Amino acid sequence: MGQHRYTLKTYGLELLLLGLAALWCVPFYYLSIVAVKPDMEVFTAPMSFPSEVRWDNFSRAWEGTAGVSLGTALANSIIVTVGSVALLIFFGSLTAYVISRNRQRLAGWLYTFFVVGIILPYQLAVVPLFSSMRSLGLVGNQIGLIVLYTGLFLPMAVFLYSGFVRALPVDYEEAAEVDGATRSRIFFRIVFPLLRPITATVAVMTGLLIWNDFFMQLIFLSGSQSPTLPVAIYGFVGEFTARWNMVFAAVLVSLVPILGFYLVAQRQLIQGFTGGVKS
Amino acid sequence: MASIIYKNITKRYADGTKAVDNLNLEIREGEFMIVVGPSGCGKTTALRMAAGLEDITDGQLTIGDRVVNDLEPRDRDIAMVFQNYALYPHMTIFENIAFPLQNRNMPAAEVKQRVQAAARTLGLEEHLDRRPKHLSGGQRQRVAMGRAIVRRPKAFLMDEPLSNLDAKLRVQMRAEITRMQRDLGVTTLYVTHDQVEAMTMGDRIAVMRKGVLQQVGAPVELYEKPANLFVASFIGSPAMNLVQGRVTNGNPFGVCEIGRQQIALTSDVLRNGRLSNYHDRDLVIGIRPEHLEDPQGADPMAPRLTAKIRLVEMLPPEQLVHLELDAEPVASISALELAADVDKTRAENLRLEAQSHRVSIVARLPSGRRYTEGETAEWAINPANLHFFDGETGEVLR
Repeated sequence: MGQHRYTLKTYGLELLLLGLAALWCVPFYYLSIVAVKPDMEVFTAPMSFPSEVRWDNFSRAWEGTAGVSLGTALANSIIVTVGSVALLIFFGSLTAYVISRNRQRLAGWLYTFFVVGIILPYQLAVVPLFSSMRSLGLVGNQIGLIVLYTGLFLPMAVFLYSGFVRALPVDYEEAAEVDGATRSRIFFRIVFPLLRPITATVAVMTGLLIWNDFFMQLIFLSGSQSPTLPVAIYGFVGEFTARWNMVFAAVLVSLVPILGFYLVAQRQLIQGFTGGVKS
Repeated sequence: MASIIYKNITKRYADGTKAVDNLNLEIREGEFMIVVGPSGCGKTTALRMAAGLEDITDGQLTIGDRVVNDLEPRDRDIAMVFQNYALYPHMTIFENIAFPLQNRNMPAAEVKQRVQAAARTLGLEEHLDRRPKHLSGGQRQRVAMGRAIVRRPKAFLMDEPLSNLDAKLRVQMRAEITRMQRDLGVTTLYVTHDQVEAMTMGDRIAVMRKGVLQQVGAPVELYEKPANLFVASFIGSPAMNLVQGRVTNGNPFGVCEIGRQQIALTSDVLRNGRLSNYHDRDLVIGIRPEHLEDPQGADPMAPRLTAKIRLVEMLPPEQLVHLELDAEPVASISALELAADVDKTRAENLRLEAQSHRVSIVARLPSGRRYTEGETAEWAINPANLHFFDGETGEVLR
């Protein structure tokens, strides 16, 4: 009390943290400058500030490769991400609710089953997954990817939802039950709205993972007419040469939607990580 | 409206503990029944079984003319008020109150009309568009009541609905709930650990301890004629004074010995009950604080008890005079256990008193006269007001 807010120590600490934050921005700086460099300069002076700012890089990148524009790829990415996240929220919340509220031993086993699903690296299962998905006609289209991602990230969604449901007072559901609501009505009218903070967390976490995933999308969409953003961007990397300025410009474009979503859902996201339900 | 009948109801958990043991209780149509007892006595479990939120291990539970053991809560047509109100935080007050009606697919116009009528009754009209978090504790309590009354159910179940309110609001809401119950005439089962609520609100009170029903009766009946030591200690504030003593021959109708002091009994004391079988055996003697009187205003023939004044608490229009009596405190294990069930500190005090051979008792007197702390004085007592209990079983002997 009565002391200055800034002592030498806090001042130093703040400077250090600001420095760290600046360091965090360095990749974004390079991303931005390379995205507007002329084609040749990417190779001659990759780290320098562009001698000439080429805004048309964005429009060239937007045209895409192999006849698929970046706009189409962006739409595909949105379809895949939104579709997968919607299914993950639906199945994840429902499954977690049943597992967390059921007191039988089977529920405990199921929970363990899902946790193990988070730990196991899914890359190991790519070959059998690919062959079975191909025989189901789910390779090379968005529906296949949606099904795939829903399966891959369901364990994480269930894990996140379960923790939240367990902390949710059971009184609300009991009150609704006495008030004459059916099971499904209790879930959709009472429980699901109360899960909103964790729903935002699940949406952002799985959404980011799906949006940024390259490996699965490359394997399941490569060569198809409906590539997602990462696959389309990879199209700029050829066998003999890579057009890095195009790649970087496309990456910048692809950052926009996910950044926008984060800004909108930021408050809910933090609440989902830290808090419960306030009555 | 419907009666609720517990017939040989038992609730046993997987680990074998019995939360409710062979409960037989009838809540008559339109009656306001209070179930009271210390925490862990099984009162909430009994209530939750009526709501259908807890399975019944044994016995038969009837609401109206229907056995409801296997009926889902939503099919029982009862309304419940929870301890923490359980208002849906994401819904407005209107939506909260309307929820039970919407579950029954009631037309929107009727829902609106009923919710507004309930809100009017409870003084919530201005708050219908707000969320529960913007309301005070008392208002939330009213919303919970609104959600219960709007449906006009067969019965209300209330689980300590006032325990989250401050003392002043609790007194106010106590009166409101009682008035509402009288107006609506809906059968109500109300659970509380607060004996003041029990005494002031209910038509009848059921006292429970360790899952077993101890006594059912009107508040005054429980106060004046407790069935056992537990009910005697639980009902009444300040609690009944308990002293070890015995009844011996002497005088025409026997003598009650408390320490070295003797109180001559009257004919009606021995005539009723089983007291005559307990001659020369240690008993627990109970004296209500208001039955220790100042000799000046009392019957000149009434027996006297001498005790030292330790502390005077003025609470106009009355005062609580704490006295120290040379006598043996209640020492039997079961009596101590009973006391501990009512209040842990009370049992500890009894244990300490046992070492000093002195008993602390309280007299409730009008505030008119001044008493000096440290003085020894005589107190008149009417033998007809004494309560006698078996020290081992706790059963009342008279």
